[in-house]
Amino acid sequence: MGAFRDLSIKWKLKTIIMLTSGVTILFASVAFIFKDVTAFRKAIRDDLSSLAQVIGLNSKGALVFLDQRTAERNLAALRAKPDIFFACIYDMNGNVFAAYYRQETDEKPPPPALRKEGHYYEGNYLFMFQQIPLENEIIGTVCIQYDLSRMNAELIQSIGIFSGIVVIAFVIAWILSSSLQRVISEPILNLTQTAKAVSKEKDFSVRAEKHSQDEIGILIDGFNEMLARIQSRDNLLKKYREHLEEQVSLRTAELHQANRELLAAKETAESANRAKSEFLASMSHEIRTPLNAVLGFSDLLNSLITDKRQKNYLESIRSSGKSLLTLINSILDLSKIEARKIELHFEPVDPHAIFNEIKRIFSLKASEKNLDFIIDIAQDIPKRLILDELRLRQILINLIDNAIKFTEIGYIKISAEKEDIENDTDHLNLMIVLEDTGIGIPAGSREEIFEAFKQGYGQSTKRYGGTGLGLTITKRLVEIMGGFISVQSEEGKGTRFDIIIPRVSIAPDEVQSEKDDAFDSEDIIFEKALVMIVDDIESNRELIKEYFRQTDVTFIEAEDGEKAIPLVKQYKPDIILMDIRLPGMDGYKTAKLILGDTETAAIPIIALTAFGMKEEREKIMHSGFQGFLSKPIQQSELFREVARFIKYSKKEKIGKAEAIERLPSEVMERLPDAIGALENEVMELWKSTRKNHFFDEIASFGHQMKLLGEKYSLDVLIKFGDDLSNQAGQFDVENMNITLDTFPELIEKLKSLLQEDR
Amino acid sequence: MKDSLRKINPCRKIGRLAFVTAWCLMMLCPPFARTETLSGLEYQVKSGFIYNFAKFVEWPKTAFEKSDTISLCFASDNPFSEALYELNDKIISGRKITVKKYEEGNDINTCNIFFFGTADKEFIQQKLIEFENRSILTVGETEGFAQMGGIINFFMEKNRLRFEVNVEAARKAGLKLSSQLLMSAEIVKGGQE
Repeated sequence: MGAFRDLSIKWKLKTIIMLTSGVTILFASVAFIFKDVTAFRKAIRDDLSSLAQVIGLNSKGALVFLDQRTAERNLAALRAKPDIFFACIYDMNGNVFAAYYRQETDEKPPPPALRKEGHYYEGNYLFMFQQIPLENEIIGTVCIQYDLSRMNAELIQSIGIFSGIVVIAFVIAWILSSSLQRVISEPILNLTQTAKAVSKEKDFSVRAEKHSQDEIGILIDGFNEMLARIQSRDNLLKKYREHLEEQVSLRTAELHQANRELLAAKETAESANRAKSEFLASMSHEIRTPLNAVLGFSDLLNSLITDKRQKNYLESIRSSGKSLLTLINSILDLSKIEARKIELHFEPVDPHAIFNEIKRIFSLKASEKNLDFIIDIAQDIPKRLILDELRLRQILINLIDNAIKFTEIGYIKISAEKEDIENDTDHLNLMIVLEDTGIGIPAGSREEIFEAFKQGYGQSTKRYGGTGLGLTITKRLVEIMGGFISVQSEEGKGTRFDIIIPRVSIAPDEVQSEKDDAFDSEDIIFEKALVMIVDDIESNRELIKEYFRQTDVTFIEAEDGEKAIPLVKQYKPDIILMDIRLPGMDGYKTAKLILGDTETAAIPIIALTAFGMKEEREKIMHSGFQGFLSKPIQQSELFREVARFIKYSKKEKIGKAEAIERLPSEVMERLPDAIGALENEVMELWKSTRKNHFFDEIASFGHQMKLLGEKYSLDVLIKFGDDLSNQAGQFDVENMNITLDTFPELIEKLKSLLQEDR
Repeated sequence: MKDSLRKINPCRKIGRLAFVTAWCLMMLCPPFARTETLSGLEYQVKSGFIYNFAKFVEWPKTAFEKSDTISLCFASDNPFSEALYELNDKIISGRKITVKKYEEGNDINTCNIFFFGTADKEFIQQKLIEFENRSILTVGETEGFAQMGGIINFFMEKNRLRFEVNVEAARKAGLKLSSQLLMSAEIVKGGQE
């Protein structure tokens, strides 16, 4: 069939016609011959049957009366039929009673055996058996043997004739199909030729010729129409192509133009942004300088005028100036947050300590307004949480500042508790609540208060001051920490802020932390000792040295294990503080080598690790170290560890105040003068500075304190002054306030030193 | 063939018997057949022929008005002619055959076939006159019987049993004889006069 599919249409048509006509002719011929033969044979059979019947009928008497002669006479009548080869009559027992042979045959084959009535074909002969009935019995049978050879010869002859007719019919069909197929194949061939020509020469102007209105005619019409369309499209494309380059260059030019504009716009934007940054950076200075002048001179003026009305005006100028200053600082803060320039520094901190400090800062302010300041911190909050201390403090200070500002009577309460997280012992949710009994926030503006420059409805700026940025900053800070802040308030009754900081990591407990209470690093006075520090980072080494600055402990340092080992051998330090992660040979290996040497094996080694994992701790304890310290290293822990191996004595306790190193005797001699100065003139200055809250003033106060400290050789005072002027210079409001507020404590400490000395 | 043998009916039996007898007569015992002595076999063949004659003879309708049987009467001194009794109760064309032996004084009016098993020409002549104008098929076995006015007469030819027919006598008796019968018969002319 595949071969037929690939034939040309011409041959397909011819084949179809020939096959169809051939099959028809063949079947017709065969059917005709078959029918002829059948009919002929039936005629012979009928003929023979009637002959046999006649013979039988005529031979009844002969049979019954055993009259063979009569029977033979009857059979002899068959001579008229030359095709009858043989005939006989059987008696009722099947024996041949009478027989007849065609004359020309010489040989006389034995008669066939008796069979049942009917006809039988056997070889070239047809046998016809006809029974002879009489009354109710069969008295004999007639048999006629018919010679078919003549008929077969005729059959072969007629088959020959038919074959001839079939061949002639085929030939005629061939001739007819050859000429008739052209009617269909020729237009298709023409179409094919045209299509080939079109595809070869790409000339779409050629058209196929149409000769008829039949399906092929329609096909040609369709083909021509398609060609016409392609031609028109081609023309159009050609036109476009000619036009395209022009367009491309046009567009490219446009694009270049747009690019240039974009670049210009970008530059403009960048320079605008730069300008904004520069503006913000310089604004602090540019605005603050004249502002400070305004505030400073209003102060001076204040002491010169006595007129009440003028004093009032002056007060207005001062308070407005102060508001403006705070506003500027807040804007700077907020813009830093908005620009995401704030980075959080997470480190293990003690939340209890933060809250205590907050209390220390605000208790004075609260008592000035006769407000109760209550702090309620759940004792089960771990002592070491991973938090950004600075920002947490800023949040609390902002909120408490607000609370104090808007509360005239009653209390301010700050409480904190933890919420455990299921299946997670390493984290907790920290919840801080700040309540006050202030003026409250009207229902409509509860959400607005967190928006920049929005203050509570009806808040009198004159009365309360503020920038309207504190809560905005607070909210952003909470969000940066991943937390939420919400507010509940009833107008006239109070406000409650809820802060949730979720998934706060719990830092691993310090080893022997239970000793914390019993051990106070401030009480320790180490005897002379040699300590070795092995750490590749200089600042780490410096920090440790700094902690021991006021002691008689001396140090040798090494940057790595390779350098450490010969030094250990040479100096034989009393104790080695060894970082675990060292370049090259790590802490474990170095310790192993030191401990492996009999000369140095007895020297205790303390490991320094970064924020230790439990596994690491165990490894350290199994590697021959005498102890370990987690970074960042805190003084108390360092001292506690070191105190295990170095002799020390304990100072007497000096109350709650921070420890101040023992002072040399010449310093002690001048200490009463210093305290006197501080308690009198400086105290007044401190009070006014704190009240006015001018940055420049605070900075200059810090500077004065530094000078004073240098004068009396009081390091604490120098540090205080340095811190304060630095914080004021950096506009670190919170820390600046905290530092500033520690001034009275500082005096107390110095006083206690003096008493101790006596 | 065995089946057909077993189920063989009386008519066939007669036919077979007749044929076998004839065959024997013709082939095996020519001397015996040649003799004037009438054997049992010969009579059996004759009995079969008589039975077959009845098949090829058509009686006028009046012949069976009184009774619907074919009455076969025979007059014979020969004990072998008793073989005719074999035909008793055979049926031809729905009619039963009854065989009766003729005794002097018997009513012959009921006879449809009369067989003269005797050569007594005087008796034959007397009876033929008696049967005149009656539809009785007369059968004899004496030379000249047909010429005397009998309808069918047996004779032997080359050891074969044959018969001759007086067609005129048959016509007079109102009997139609089938061409089948006539084809195998010798036709005799003449009457008693």
